Amino acid sequence: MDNILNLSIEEMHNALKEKKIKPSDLVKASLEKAKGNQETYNAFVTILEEALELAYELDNNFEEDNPLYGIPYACKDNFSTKGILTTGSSNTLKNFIPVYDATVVKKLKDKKTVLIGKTVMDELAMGGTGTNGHTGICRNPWDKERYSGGSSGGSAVAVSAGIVPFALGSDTGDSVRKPASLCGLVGFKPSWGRISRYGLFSFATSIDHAAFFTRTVKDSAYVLEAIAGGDYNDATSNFSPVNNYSKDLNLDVKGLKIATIKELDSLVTNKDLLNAFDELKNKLEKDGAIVTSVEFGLDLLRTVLPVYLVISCSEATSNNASLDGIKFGPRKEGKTMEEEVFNTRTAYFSSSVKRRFVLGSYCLAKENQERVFIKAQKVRHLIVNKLHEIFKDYDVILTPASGKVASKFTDTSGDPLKDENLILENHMALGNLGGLPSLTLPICLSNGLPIGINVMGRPYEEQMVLNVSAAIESKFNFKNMIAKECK
Amino acid sequence: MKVTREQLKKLANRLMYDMSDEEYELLEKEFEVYEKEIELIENIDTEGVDPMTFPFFYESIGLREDEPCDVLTTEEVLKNAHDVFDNQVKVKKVI
Repeated sequence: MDNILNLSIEEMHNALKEKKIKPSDLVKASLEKAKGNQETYNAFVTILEEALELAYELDNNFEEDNPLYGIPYACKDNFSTKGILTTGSSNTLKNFIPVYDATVVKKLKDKKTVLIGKTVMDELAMGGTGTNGHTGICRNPWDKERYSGGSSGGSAVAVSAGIVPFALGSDTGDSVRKPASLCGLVGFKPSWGRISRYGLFSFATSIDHAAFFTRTVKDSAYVLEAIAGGDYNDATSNFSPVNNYSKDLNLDVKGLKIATIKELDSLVTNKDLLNAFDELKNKLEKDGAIVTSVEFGLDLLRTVLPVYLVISCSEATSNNASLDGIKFGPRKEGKTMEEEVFNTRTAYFSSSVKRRFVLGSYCLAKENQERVFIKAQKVRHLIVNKLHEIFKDYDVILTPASGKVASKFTDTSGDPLKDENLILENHMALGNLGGLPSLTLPICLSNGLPIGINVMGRPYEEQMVLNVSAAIESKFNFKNMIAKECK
Repeated sequence: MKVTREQLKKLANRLMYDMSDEEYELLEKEFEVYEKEIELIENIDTEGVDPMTFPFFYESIGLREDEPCDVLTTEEVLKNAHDVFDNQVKVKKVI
């Protein structure tokens, strides 16, 4: 079989079932492609050659009712993997080898999925470009002169380049869903607590989500079935039953009420995206869905990014206080322990992360805490109330995941205080603040580069989000896209 | 109220690190934007609104039984430590 890595999970599973390929064929090809693309795209911190040994063991005893059996995958480098270097793309953890597996890693091991590498990220998940990892920048497989997005940049690259059919990521502000848009992928952030975060390095605990990339919506359903569920090692995880998401996929949108956000839609100027969005709305209405433009409130929408920044940077300062070189991680010399900690953190955190931590420290400082941090938490409450108000009358909210294609490294950034940045490019943090299931999938190509659309649902209505997303996917021709530079 | 270089340095030092002059200069520029973004938050009326600390309001799942599970060995705990002596993490003298 040609190009076995370009297959979806479902197609790989069928090919394995029909004995057209073996798991070792997939893993061998995946490892070769990972190494072949590494210099250009820099998706990986660690490529695991030993994965092939496991794959050979899996060549027999195929499990027909296990869609993930023998499938190669990649994992963002902030999930603990026992015995395997896990760095958070930070020099503070450049030699850290966990002694246990994250729950999701263990679940995928139990499903006989094969981990082929740990992927590059923005340091400690604090970034949105894919350029702030300690082993260098990720490049977009659609155009290597462009950003992959982040912080789950390496995982997005690995799936988009056709190295693996799925990869784990984490999403605190849009760190799976934005790179999904920029790299032409399905990026799914389920509800807060739907997937255990045990073993996932914390960035901002009240908005961190385990998430993942695939190239089709059905593949997302397969992955979610495998890794969702309550976990007594994660007190924030949810024990409600895990659906059979793939079998229950239903593309019938008749009678569904779909909201779009007026203030967001009015900011879109990209003609290809506008046309695709209009085409989508028409097709959904033709199929019996009711699509309505609703007002969110401009003043409140403008606070989504600032609220995210205040809460995330504040929580991050606490979560990363243990990165001091004392119990683990590299340690710089000093005359006293305090000096060693100071020198270690000065030397090993990147500039970008240090600057974000200062914002967090500012927000939490006694003189600012009420005015800034507590205030942001109150505004968060209003934002989430507004979302629930919309969800009283609507089943999902549909928004453009981004207003544009991936920017070039040489592009200058626009005014950060304009609505294009505040709202259009950063509204997906709504899904984090409200813990809502939220999925991005490609909707158009603009000058040959992908842009995605985002579907957001009520808490724990992953099936609804998957159903609507599958319906949208069926109306366009962007299913299972491999980036053009990597075909 | 514009934040000063001295305040930024104090905030960084409180978190047990320092930055270069160039980094502080960049951070000062970033704070000009942050302060305007914080104003956007401050302009929202939150009278009678409680802070939200988690995305959901739900009851605790409760505590599990107090039985040991998933226990790491001392060797495992110390595996990543920079300097180990006599089953303990070794640090500079503190007294």
